[in-house]
Amino acid sequence: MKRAIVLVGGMGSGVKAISGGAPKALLKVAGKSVIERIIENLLVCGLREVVLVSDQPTLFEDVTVKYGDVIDVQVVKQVGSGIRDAILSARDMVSSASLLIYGDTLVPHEAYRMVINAYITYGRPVILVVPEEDVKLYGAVLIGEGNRVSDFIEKPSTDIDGAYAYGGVAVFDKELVETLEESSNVDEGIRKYVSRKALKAAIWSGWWVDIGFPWDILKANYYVLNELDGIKISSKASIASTAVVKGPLIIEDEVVVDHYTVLEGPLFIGRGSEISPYTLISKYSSLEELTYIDTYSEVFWSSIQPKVVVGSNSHIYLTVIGSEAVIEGNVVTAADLRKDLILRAVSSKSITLSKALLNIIKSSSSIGSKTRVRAGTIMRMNMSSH
Amino acid sequence: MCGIIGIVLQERGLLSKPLGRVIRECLKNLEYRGYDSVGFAILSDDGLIIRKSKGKIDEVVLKLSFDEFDGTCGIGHTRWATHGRPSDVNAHPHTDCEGRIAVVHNGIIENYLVIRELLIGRGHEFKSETDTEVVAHLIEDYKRLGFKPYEAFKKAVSLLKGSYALSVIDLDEPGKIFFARNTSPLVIGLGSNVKFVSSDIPAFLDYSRNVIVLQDDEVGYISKDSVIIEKLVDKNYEFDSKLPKTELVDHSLRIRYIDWTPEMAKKGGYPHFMLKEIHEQPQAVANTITSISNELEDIVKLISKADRVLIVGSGTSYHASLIGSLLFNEMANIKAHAIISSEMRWFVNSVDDEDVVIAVSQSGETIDTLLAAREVRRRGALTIALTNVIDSALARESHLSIYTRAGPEIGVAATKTFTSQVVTLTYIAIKLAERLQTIPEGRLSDLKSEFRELPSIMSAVVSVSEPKARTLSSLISMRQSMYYLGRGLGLPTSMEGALKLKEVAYIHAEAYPAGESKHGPIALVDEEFPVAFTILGDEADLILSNVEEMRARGAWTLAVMPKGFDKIYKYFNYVFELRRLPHELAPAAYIVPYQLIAYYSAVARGYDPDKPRNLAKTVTVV
Repeated sequence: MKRAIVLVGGMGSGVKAISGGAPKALLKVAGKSVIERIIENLLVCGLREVVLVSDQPTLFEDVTVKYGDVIDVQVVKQVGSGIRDAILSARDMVSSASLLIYGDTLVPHEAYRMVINAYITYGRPVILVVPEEDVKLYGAVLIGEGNRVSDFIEKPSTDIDGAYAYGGVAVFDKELVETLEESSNVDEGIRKYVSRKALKAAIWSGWWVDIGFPWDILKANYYVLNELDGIKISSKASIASTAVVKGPLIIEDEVVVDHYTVLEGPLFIGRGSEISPYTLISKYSSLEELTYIDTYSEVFWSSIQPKVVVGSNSHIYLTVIGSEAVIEGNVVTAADLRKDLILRAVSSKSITLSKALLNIIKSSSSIGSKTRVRAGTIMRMNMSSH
Repeated sequence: MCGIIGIVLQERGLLSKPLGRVIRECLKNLEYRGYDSVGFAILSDDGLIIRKSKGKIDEVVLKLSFDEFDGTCGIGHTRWATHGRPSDVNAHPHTDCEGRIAVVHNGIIENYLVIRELLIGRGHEFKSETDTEVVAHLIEDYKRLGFKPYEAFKKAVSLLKGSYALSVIDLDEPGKIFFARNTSPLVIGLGSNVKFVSSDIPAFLDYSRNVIVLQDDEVGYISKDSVIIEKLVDKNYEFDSKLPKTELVDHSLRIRYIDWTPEMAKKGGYPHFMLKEIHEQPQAVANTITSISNELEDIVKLISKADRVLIVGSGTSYHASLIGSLLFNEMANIKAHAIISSEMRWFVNSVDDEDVVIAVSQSGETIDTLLAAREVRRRGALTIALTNVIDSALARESHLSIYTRAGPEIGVAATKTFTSQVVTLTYIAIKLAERLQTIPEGRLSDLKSEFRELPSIMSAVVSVSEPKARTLSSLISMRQSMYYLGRGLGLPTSMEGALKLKEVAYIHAEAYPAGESKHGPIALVDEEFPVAFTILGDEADLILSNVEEMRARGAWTLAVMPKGFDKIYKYFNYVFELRRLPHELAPAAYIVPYQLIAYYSAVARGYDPDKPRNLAKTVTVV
C-alpha cells in the first residue's frame, strides 16, 4: 500500500461556527491540525503518497509545504458534494488499492495498520468499524459471517441493533470505486458491491473520534493528551520561577508562563502563547498558538483555537473557543458544571469515556470563531455564543 | 489450517545459518496456524532430504536436527490435523513414487479420491492417507508423459478441485520452488538474496519485507533469479495431455512493503487475538457441531450406561464441565458431577469401573487434568478426553477422545474453545436424552433444531453486544470489584464471566449462586458496587428477589437476559437483551457479552488482553 486518499472537503455544519467556515480537518487538537495528525499516521504506516480531496484546495497549501519533503502530497479539487463525489474526484488515483480516510476522523495509527494488514491478509477491500452505540451519528455497518460487510448505511435515521459505526478508514480497490461510480450514492454502491464480492470489516477497539460537533474536539483532546508522557518545555519558552508545573505537558517556543501560575497536565500550550499571573490551566486543556490568558483566570478541559484572548478573572470549563475570539473579563462558561464529578470520572485515564461523561461533554459550551463575549457573561451548560 | 513455507537462496550460507534452521524459524512464526506435526524437504548435494514427524515444532526440530541441514532450496510445513490423525506418515512433505518431488499443502483437495484411484490404476503407490500426496504423484505422472517439471506441475494444479496453497520442489528442476494458490492464502516474499513463498507474511518478515499477495488460480515459481506468476485461465479438469492455458502476470505493481511486526500480522483485522477469537466463535462452534455429529454414537451409548459420570477440568474447562454436569442431570437424569482437576485426588476413593470420567482440557496437556484422568483410569473408570488438540497427551492416555474444532487459540484467555466445549457437552446431553427418552419428542426436536441455529445466534449476539460492552467497559474499568450472580446454568456462565474479567482486566470478580449471595457476599455491597445477573429463562422470577436485595444496598446492576422480560427490565441499570433460547442452549450464547466486557475493560485499563500477567496458555505444572 503506497497511496492514501484523504477526504477533507466540506466544512462540517456541526463545527462551522468554531472553524469560521474553514474545513474541519484544519481544526487543531493539541498543537496539530486533524489533517496533520492523519498525515503523521500515514508516515508511521510507511505510506509515501497522499491525495487530499477538498473543495477549497488552496487552504491546504501550508500542509503540502510542511510535509512535502517526507511524503508526496497532492491536492485534488472535489467535484460535486458528498462522500461519493469526493471519492470519485480522486478515482484516477485509485489504480491499485489505496487507503481511504475521512478527514474528520482521528484514530491512533495502529488502526490504519490494522486495516492495511487486514487487506493484505484477506486480499479483499476492508473498512474499519467501531463498536459504538449511537451509530446514527456516524455511518452504520452491518457485518455477517467471517466479518463480511452485509450492509452499509451512510446516514442512518435511527440506531440499528447490531450495527457498528463506520470508522472513517478503509482500503478501496479499483473495482469498489467503479461500483460507486455506477451508483448514485455510497450506500447503493457498497450494497451492490457486497452482493457480488466480499468486503471485510476490521474491528477497532481503541479510541476513535469523528469530529462532527465541538464536543468531539474535547474528546480528541482527552485521547491525544492522555498519550503524552513527560514534560516537554521548549528552551525558548519562559517559565516564571514561582509557576507550578505538573506534567505531562508540552510547552512550545516563546510561550510565557507568568508568576504564581499553576499548570496541571496533561495539557498543551502552543507557540507564542502568554499565560498571565495567578491563572490555573488544568487537565485536558489545549491552548493553541498565540493564546493570551489574562490574570486570575482558569481553564479546564477546553480547546482554545489559535489567537484567542481570554480576559481577567474568567473561568473556561469544557468549552471549545474558535480562533480569534475575544472573551472579555469575568466570563464564566459551563457555570453549572459539577467539576468534582468530571474530575472523578477522568481520573482513571480510561481510554473509553463513560456514557455519563459523554453526556456532560455533549452539553458543553462553544464560542464561535472571531466572536466577542461581553464582560460578565455567565454561560450555562448547553449554551453557545457565536 | 496449516502453514507452508518455501525458500530459495541465491547461494548457500547467505543468511549465515543453515537453511534447515531458517525453515525452522519460519515455521515457528507460522505455529499459530497449527502445531501437531512438522516437516521439511531440502535440495542438497546428496539429493532430496526429507524429515518429518508428528509433534510440536520445538520437539521435532530437536529430534530430527533440522538445524544441521543446509542447501539453497527448501520447503517446510506445520500441520493442524482436522481430518485424520497426526502421524509421521501423514506429516508433510509428501513425495512421489521415486522420491524426486516433494509437496507441502494447506487446504483440502476435494477430488483427491478420484485422482488417487486413477493414479493407483496407473501403478502409483501411495504411502499416506492424505489428500496432498496425490499432487506429487500427479506431477510425476505427467512427467512420465513427457511434460517438463514446471509444465507437469501446472497441469496437475489445473486438475485439482478444492482449496489449496501448494509449494513443490523437484529434483529434476533444482533451484526452483513451484507454487499455486486457490482459496488458501499464499504470499511471496522478496529479500535481497532470498525469496520466500509462504502461507502468511509473519513467516519471513525477519528476512524480507517486500511482499506479493497471490490471488486465486495463480501458479508460478521462485528461483534465485526470478519470480514468475501466471494465471490459470481455463481449468477444464480433463485428464488429457493438453497444457492448461495461462497468462503471464505482471507482478511489479503488486509488490508491497510491509513495515509492521510479525505479531501484528497474524491478527488479521483485529487489534488482539482475544477479540479475533471472540468473533471466530460462530465458526468454531459450527465446525465443532459438524464434526461431532458423526462421531459420538458409541460414546453416548457408553455414557448412558454409566453408573455415574464425572466431568473434570481446570479453569474455563471446569466451567464447561459444570454446564455439562447440569445438563446431564437435568436432561437425561444421569448422575453427573463436575470436579476441579486439581481437587480430583480427594474424590478418587469412590471411583470404580462403573464410572465414566470425561476429562476436559483445551490443550489436552493440562497437567492437573492429565493426572486426574490417569488416576481414575487406574481405578477402572472409562476415560473420555474432550480436547481441542488432536492426539494430545490427554487424548492419547484416555480410552476415547472427542475433539472440538475451534482451531488454534492464541489468546491466553479461552473464548472460542470454551463455547466449543460447551456445545459439545450440550450435544452429548441432547443425544443422551434422545437415547434414554427423558425428554418428550416434540421438545427434543425443538432443542435439536435450535441447537443447529447456535452459530448464527452467536454471531448476532456478538454484533449486538459489542457496542454495549465497549460503552460499559468505561464504567467497569474504574471498579475494583464485581459480582456475577446466576442460578442453574446461569451460575457456571457467571463463573466464566467473572473469570474472564479477572484474567484480562485484573478486576476482582466473584461469581456466586444468586440465592446464596445473601449468605455472606452481600456484606461487601454498597453504593455503585457492580453486580451482573445472568438470566437464561424461567429462573427470572427467583432471581428478581436477589436483584432487589442488591439494589436496596445501592448496587449498580447489570443483566444479561432474554428479550421479552419487560417486567423486570426496570430493575437494572444496564441490560444486554439477547434472543430467547431454550435455557439448555443459552450458556454458549450468553457468555459472549461477558467475554466482550472483559476484553474491552482490559483495553480501557491499558492492558494487553492477549498476554495477561502471571498466566500461561497451557498449565503444565501441578
